[in-house]
Amino acid sequence: MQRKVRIVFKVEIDTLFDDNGKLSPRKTEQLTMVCADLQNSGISIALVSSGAIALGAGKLGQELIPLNITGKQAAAAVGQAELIIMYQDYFDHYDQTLAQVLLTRDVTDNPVRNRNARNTLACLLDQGIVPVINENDSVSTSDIILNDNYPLVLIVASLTDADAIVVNTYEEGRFLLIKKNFSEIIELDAGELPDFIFEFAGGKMESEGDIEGFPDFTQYADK
Amino acid sequence: MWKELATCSKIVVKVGTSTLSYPNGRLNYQRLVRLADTLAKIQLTGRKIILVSSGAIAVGAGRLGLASRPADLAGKQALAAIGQAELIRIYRRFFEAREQQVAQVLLTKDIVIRPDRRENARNTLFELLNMNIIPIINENDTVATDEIEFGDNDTLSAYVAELAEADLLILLSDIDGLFSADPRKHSDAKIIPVVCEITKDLERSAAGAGSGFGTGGMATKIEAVRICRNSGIKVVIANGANPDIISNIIAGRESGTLFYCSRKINAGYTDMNIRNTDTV
Repeated sequence: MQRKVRIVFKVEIDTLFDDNGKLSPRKTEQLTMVCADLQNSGISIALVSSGAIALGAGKLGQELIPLNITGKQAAAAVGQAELIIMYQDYFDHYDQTLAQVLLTRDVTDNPVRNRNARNTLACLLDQGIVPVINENDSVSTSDIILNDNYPLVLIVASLTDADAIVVNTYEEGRFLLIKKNFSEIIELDAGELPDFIFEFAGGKMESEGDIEGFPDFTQYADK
Repeated sequence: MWKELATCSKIVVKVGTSTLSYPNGRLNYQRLVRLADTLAKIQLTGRKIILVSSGAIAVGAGRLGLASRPADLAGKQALAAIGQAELIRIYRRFFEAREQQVAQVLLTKDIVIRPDRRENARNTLFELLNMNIIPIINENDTVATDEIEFGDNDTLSAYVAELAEADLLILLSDIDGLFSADPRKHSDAKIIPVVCEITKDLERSAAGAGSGFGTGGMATKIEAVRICRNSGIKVVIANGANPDIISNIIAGRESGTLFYCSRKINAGYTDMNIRNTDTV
């Protein structure tokens, strides 16, 4: 089935925050501009974004991120609202609609939820809406414990049948483009992303959406 | 019995789509402002509020400029994902203007079925209440397949009240309470001020007295009452057209139908938890 090329963006704390642990308006502006621009070029973008706990802790006036799980969950409940509002405020400038999708790991092993999440994400991507995805920290704690959203990124790549994953590097404005099946990884500037993504997808505006996408990482599911 | 409500310290307020939006589906900002105002003032008195809010799909449809809701599940869930983001932004805006912090908690029926999810959700809610934050809760429609079609926030709010060990659940919609007969057919139908027992007769009349709003109706409200009674939680059904009615209810003034039950005797630890959240 013909569809737009799909990219999953891994947004880490470093992508949004400066070295002092404060949200960087400049970095956030840069990220949302890059995403809105890719959307304009005809590429579908899904964001898997960290940052809820850090934003929540900041909002609550906590100097440090809480160490205990319950404290983190409460900060996440406050911060996820802050995070999604922040994305909306930035994307509004580019007339880009977004959607909030909070997943739990059982999307990988519960067939009904799996199909459901796939359909919802496809529906959003096909309408040119950017899903902003995170783990539902209020009821599930696997990412909080792991402190990284890589498993969730891979799950989303699988759910969306993504053509590539984009990850930021330590150098600002430089990204890693990871092709399906990890067959190729290149480092490039933000400005080069649209051209390279099309090249990665076989030089076409549309992807065939073949079955050999990112593998399902069901072994990470919290049972 | 209404007077007893003046002592409630932890209150779950559920607002339906019909309360939050105009008949055309767009948000009623004036009402949302008054709701935020009322709840923020109550929170200032030291009582704890949890808000269960519907409206995500309606807001999503508004954002995309859709005249009608999509028929397919994926379309509805996509709208819920768009609308929930908008909805929490608007709530945050109105509550922040009143210096009241809010948090977003999206739940599924997992909190009833899975002990680990239940424990996590419970911890999150108690921690938020301890920090004097108003949790704004909705069903996580994006992943809740079986729930979005049959689910309703009346039932969700009852489970939340139980999970949070609340004293009172207030269900606000576009009906004034439980009537003695269908008010559309019987002009002499009166609101029943207090219901102490759920009888077969009452269930029958509730099934007949449905209204056209949201996903719920009187039947789901009676189901919510049933869930709450098991934990000794009182329920009030009232009209949300004027959100100030919440202040009247918790002042113990008759404003709709009160489903009365006495607090469970073995729920002593609940009172201790309430004291704890009050002193922090």
